[in-house]
Amino acid sequence: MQKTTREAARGLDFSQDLLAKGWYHSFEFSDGTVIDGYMPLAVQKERYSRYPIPDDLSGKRVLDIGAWDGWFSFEAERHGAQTIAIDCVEIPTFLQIHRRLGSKVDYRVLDFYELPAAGLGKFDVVFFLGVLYHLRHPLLALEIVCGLTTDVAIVESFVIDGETWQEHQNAIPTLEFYETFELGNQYDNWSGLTVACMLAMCRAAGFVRVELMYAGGTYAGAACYRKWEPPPTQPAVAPPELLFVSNGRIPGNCFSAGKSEEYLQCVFKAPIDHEVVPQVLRLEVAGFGTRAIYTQQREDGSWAASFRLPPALDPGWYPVRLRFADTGFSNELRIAVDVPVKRPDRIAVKDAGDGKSWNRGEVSLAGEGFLSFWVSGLPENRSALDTRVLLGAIPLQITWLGPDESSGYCQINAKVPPDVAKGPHDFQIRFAGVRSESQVVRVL
Amino acid sequence: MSSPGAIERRRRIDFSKELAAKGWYHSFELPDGTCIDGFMTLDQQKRRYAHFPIPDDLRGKRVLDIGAWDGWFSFEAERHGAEVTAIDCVEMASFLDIHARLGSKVDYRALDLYELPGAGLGKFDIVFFLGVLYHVRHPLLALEIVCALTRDVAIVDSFVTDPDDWQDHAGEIPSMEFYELDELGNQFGNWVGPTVSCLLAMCRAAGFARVELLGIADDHAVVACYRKWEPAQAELAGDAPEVLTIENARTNGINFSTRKSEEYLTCVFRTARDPVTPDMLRLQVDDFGAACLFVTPQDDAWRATFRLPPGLDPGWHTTRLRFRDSGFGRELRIAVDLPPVPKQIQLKDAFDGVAWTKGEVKVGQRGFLSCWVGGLPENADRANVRVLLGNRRLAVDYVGKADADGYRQVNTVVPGNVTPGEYEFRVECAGVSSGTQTVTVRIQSSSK
Repeated sequence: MQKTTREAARGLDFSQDLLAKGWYHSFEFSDGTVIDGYMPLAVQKERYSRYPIPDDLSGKRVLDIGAWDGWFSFEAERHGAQTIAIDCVEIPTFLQIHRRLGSKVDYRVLDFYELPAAGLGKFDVVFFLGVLYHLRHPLLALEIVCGLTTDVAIVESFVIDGETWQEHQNAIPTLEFYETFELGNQYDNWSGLTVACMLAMCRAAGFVRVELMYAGGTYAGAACYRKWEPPPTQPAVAPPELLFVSNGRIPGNCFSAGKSEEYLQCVFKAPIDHEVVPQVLRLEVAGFGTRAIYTQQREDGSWAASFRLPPALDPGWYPVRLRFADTGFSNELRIAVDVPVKRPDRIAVKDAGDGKSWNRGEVSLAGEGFLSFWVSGLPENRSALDTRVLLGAIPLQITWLGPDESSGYCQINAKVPPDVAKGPHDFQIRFAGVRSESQVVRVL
Repeated sequence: MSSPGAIERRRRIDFSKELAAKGWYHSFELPDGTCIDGFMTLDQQKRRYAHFPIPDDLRGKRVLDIGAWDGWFSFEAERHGAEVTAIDCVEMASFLDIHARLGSKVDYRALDLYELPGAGLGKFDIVFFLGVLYHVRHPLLALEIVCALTRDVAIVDSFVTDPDDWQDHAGEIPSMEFYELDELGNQFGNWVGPTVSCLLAMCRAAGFARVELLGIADDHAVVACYRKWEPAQAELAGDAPEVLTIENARTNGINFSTRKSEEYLTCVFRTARDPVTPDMLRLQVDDFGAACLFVTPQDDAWRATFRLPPGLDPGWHTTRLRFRDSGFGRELRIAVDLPPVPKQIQLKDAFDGVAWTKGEVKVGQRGFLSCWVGGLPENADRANVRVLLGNRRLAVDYVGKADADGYRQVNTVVPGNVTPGEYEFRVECAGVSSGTQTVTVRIQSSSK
């Protein structure tokens, strides 16, 4: 792959051309007058026509991030959208066109990273055009864009291999980092991605489907979707059965949107003789798609797969369901995101015993020691974080915290460390400060 | 940029089997004589620690160990006398085990890296950021967070993609690899692989004043990142810069926001030296150094731009500029995250800024209107003082110091397209308005 020299990158400086024109975008008005900006009107229209969005945007909310003179905002408004445009500084030319068109576009001056907390709500369509390479944290930026999008985001950016990307598709994606003036002589350009890197980052940010619209010159554009393609109307195969969903970091069905990496661990029964690889799995959380990171078959023949939690979910309960590319959806389970835990009135424990031999009232340290038991009274959102399993004074590490079974009890498994003294121990569970009655477990 | 075969080479950087066999990442020798033989040898650990440019005696120093794992570096800093806080994204049973066996006082917390700024841990003289950078999704943000928590020096140790030949391509633009899945070492949770020069560039861009490569070994580079300038030479032979203004490059005011992702300081100064280059300049906000990004001549002076150092607490901060070989120029103050709180705003006398005629302004291509305003907060500036002529907001190009009675001169520019006539004139700051006065706009006779 060609390496960019400092001289070549500096050559991409359009500030003189822009200054001569006075405008970045071009405009034509109903009275026939035209503003001839740095970007020709034909190019703007061609770009807009590539976006996979409906011609009629009535009832849709559109966000234009880094609107500059605002052509794309006003164009979306012309197609019927309720549009919000933001920029990091107030651009007088935007306001000038806004007045001239009698536009209702809601224009705000916001730092990009202030967007998640600005209370703007979510948007069917987000334009993220020519902004990515101006930002210091490109993947975080794409996560923020993903969190604001309910349907599709259009990501267009400067790229370093627009003409040659197909020649090195199997290479590791890279990005250039511009500490000062390396790109276009401007000190607010921070990163130059390869086409493959832009697509990989869009996927890593949480978009479930990322389609390259075009790449050429020093530019590439991708359509980034939050939802899976529709399921087959007449699936030939029965759907999978979703057995349980747990947080990959801490056993239980509780998740936090504030963690930088939060993963769902799903266990399911695959359709008989069906191939199970990440590419064929279609998990849906809160209606948003999420891709499988890896899959692994379990001893009992069921499968485990790990998925990233879709970004920026508000606190609440969300449905989770799974399908394969060629099946309909499974049964639905639900997970809690940042839902405060209710203190139970009382909790009860039964059937504590060795997790391997299933002998009650005892646990053997031979091999690795595991205790299994059943608990009633827990609230539906339950996490190992709120649960203490005490063998005498020793807190045991919880490896599994399940849903309530038909008995009204849920199974918990915990590891017993090898250096626990042999003999009888008091055994007790605490959840959110509430204690079970204690019973005796003998360590053998 | 990655070369053919790079994927295979990256996948081979996988020590998970050796780690699983050992059971420990760090090695330990405990006071009772027991030795724990981890993946990293005790000798390696001691050699790495010995390279860190930190005092042998750490009493009275606060140390933060980010991503402590089994904790050897935390416990070693504690052994040298430091008050240590160790964090990891999950609670490591092995850390707690050693902590109990040593009777350690290290404060151990399970925190996400990005939760650190809001965790109320305070600042640290020394921060260890060892083997964490390539595990984080937002490397430059991570380094900004580390910088903001550091008072003196941060030790940044990271996987790099070109440990053996980085000097051969030092002239190229720094780059990093992005790992969407398990490309690096077959592990999910590895996100970036910077080149050595990219690692150094990101440490500088994060806000450290000085960045020094300490060494490269085993696919890792170790960097010392300093918040302060090198100590000034004993004899400061050169002339100090004559500092004219220090202001926010975005607003031209004296107020700065740490919530903005990019906040820059501009300093205008005079000097007999010519040329002036960025490497000659040493800006300091309190004790924190900021490196110059660029400097250009402006009339008979120079204009230099610096990034605002990260991690400034809300309040006033002293800002000074010197040359590498000189003392400081005049000290000015900037306000950080300080909301302006005006009392009552009193407007006294508005004048034409050129002719000094009261209650009127003459406008040609433009006009100048000056007024005296009482009750403005101390951090009133060109951006937060709003001056209104009728409904029109005038550009404020000067807010002066308070006189003996507490009044400050405010100068504004009246655009040439204002219709002549009488206008209501008033001054606002942070939502508080003065009373109004009448100002008459007249056309400047062109015969002048």
